[in-house]
Amino acid sequence: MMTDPPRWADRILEWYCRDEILEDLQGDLHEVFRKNIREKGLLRARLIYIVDVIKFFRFYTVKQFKPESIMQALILLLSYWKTSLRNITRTKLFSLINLSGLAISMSTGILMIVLLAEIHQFDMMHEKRDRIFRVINTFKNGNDAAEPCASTSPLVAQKLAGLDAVDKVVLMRRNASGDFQFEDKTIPLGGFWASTDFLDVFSFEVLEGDPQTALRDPNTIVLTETTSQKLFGNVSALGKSLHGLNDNLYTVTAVVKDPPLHSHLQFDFLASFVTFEENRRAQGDESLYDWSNMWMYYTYILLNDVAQKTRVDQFLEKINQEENKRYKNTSYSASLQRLTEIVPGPNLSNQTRTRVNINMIWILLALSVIVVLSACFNYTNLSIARSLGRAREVGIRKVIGATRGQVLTQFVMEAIVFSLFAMVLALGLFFLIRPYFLSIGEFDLPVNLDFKIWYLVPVSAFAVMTGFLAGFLPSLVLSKIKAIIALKDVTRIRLFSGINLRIVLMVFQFTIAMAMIIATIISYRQYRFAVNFDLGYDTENVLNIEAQGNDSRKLALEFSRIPGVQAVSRSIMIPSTGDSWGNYVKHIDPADSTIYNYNLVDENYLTLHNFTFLAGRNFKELPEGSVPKEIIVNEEMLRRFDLGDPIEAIGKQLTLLDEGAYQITGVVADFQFKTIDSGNRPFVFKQSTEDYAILNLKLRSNDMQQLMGQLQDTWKRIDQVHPFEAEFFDDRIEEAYAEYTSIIKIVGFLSLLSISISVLGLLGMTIFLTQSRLREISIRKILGASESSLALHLSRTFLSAIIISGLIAAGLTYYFFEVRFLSNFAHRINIGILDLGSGLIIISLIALCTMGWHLIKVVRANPATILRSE
Amino acid sequence: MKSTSIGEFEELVLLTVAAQHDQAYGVSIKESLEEILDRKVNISAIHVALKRMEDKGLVKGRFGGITSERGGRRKKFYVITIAGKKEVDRQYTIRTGIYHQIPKISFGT
Repeated sequence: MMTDPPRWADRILEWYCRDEILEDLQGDLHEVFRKNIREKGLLRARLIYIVDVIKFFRFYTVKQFKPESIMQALILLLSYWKTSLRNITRTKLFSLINLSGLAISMSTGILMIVLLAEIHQFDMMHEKRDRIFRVINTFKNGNDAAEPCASTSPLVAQKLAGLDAVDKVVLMRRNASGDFQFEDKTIPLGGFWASTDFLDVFSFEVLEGDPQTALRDPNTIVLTETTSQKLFGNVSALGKSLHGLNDNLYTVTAVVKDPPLHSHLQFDFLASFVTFEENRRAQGDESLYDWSNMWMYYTYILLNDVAQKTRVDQFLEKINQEENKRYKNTSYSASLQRLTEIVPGPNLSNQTRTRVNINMIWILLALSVIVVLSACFNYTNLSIARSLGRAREVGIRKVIGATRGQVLTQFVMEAIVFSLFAMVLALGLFFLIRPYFLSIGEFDLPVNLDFKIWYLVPVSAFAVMTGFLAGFLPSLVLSKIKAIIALKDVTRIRLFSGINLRIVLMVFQFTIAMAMIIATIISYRQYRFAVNFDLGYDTENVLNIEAQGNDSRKLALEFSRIPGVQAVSRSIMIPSTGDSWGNYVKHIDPADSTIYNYNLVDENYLTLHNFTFLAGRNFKELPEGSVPKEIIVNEEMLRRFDLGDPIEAIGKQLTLLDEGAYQITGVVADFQFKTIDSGNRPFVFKQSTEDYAILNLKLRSNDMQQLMGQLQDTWKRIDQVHPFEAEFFDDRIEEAYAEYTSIIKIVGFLSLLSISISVLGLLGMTIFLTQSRLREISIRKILGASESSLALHLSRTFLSAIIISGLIAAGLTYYFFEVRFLSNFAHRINIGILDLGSGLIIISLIALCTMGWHLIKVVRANPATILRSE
Repeated sequence: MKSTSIGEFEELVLLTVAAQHDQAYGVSIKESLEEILDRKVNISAIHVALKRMEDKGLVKGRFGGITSERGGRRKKFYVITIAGKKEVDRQYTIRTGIYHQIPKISFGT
């Protein structure tokens, strides 16, 4: 009995071995194999054979590349190129369909490539970037989730400075913003307090001044080029004095080039950190180097040698343990983050202005891959369906001497040629969709998606890969065609007609399109729900104006004079939009404290916004200079400390951390204080001893334009320096959910893409199938089939594909939204059958239109003419 | 004439080729050596050895006729050349020469 050794191992041998040696070598192996079967059994014999094939892979056995064979291959490829071009022009309709589908999907691919390339260029301009690390901090309080932050306590900087492994330490503080005056100019600027080594560690180009000493002394400042221009015009800024932050006089010690777009540190100026330190000390505040003082400061270190990172890690671990011993319920854990991993990087709190959420990048990437796959499947589907038409060609080629591999290469080449053409189209499309993508401003992505020439390299690679992916399957099918059968009787070809495969591919496309539609609809509904959510107080026609340092009482007085301004109140923050201010509160038990959120408001605030009082009364106007003793709390606070029902709670006392004891004067009903993805916390309203930062105006007017004009004029009278910053509360709320508008826009866009791709594929398939079944249709008609039953019969496969896709899409999106996405929201919509079915309905309608029109034409045709011409 | 040196294994293969005179091919050499040495011999090692020695001119290969076994693949038979025989003789002389120099050795009691 002749058993053969494992065929695949044999194939490998034939593939690598030189032809001269192959015959006797393989013969010997086969002989040994037969003997081994007898002596050691089949399994061991096969194993030994495989091992021997591997062992024979040596220098003297392996084929050598001859230059002649390379030439041959190139000439062959050239001929394939010509054939591909001819084929493309011959079947113009299908080529167009395939081309558009591929081009559309590839344009998203190009977008992703450009986006990723640009994001990875962030912070690349720093020479020492491989040795620069940022110290980040993870804050955990009680049972709350751990919150990783980009900021950390200055104590860390102090301790790290003493380490051998650390070459330099940079300590910075954020929120250095305010007005700067020079002679008659007053300009608002934003920047950082930065320590001496900042310009040494980071590579910001210094135009004037000495980088080594620029930030060494107190009351010194470094300006950017633009800032220097604004203040001093074309005159050199060095040595000049500015009046600014904290009422200090600053001397300009250096001017640097503006930080480029791709830098995570953005600033108008850098003030020396030692100035800030001295100011604090002069005020008697020694808390600068507290371990818990982590919210406003950034620490960067420059290592001598990257290899010593582990030592620093260990050192930080030790510090974490030591310092956290002093805090009972809270912990702060410092760790190192590479400069190059900041953007793109994990989502930390307190980032310096620029941040790119890496999760979002992953999602975008996944989505574009899916879209590209969808288009590839289009090509695959159509090509396989049309393979019958090319069977003759394959037959002749094989007779002339083409190997199966060569036929395969030819058709893969064809697909790659296609996709290269599609790439050209896609590039054009990319420039079209680029402004649209950038305008999704809610992303706040600091990119401009410039297309650099060298991007053509990865883009072309991408195109080739897409072509390969799309063409591989059809090439396999076509290369299997047996020459004799193809030439003798084409109809007898038992092709891997792969009806099932094609249905699967179609289902894939439809499912994607439907899922996108459903996702868009659900996201949109949730967004509108969030924006219209009843917060428990009024926000309609409430205009919030920033006081920007001016006397809020004066502003309030002036504004209230304008007709149309119904009421004015003041506060320090705007709730329900994502901001939160918090502190700790205790009741009776000194060990039992909890976090609460608060807003400092004046006596008009609660009435203006129509908060619902459950017990007690509102604040009274606070006389000048007196200290507030009353607070108004929400129901959640009562529940937290078991204070009884609202009426009972009046008069009870609560102790606020660092502020003392307060009496509860009023209780309001729970309201939605954070964005709707959060539940409620205990809340406190208190009056402020300092000035209020925000004015809330309740407006009523038939001519809002004119009213706004009047408000603006009033502002200009009081403050000539700062621009009028006002925003309607409702608009601000919409902005808070802006993240979701961006998601909706993207998913909506992708829906359009995948719908068009599916439609194109559907169109192509319909045309092809009806054409190839013309004879069948005519005969059926003659035998008496009605037009409608014919149409139904022809579209059977498509209809079933659509229905299956509808079910799958509904299931997928339901799972995703119900379990993953919406469950993050404390308040959310319920997903209905209509939402899930929307994908199915819309696609069905579109499919009916595309298919229907063509089907009707075919079905109505006169059977006689068709049969006669066949 | 250039003195070619061959390794121990190659020498064994060369000897076997000579012994099987004109009937030696990959598998026959392998089986013979396995029997004599009482250990597994790898066929690829044998082919390498044969190739090296053919390059050095110590053996000469010729193809046998097509048979129905081995899937119709011909065997390559090797025969020893004059140079090869000289080499074998030389090795033999060297070895027996030293061997005869060994005095009577007694091992232990």
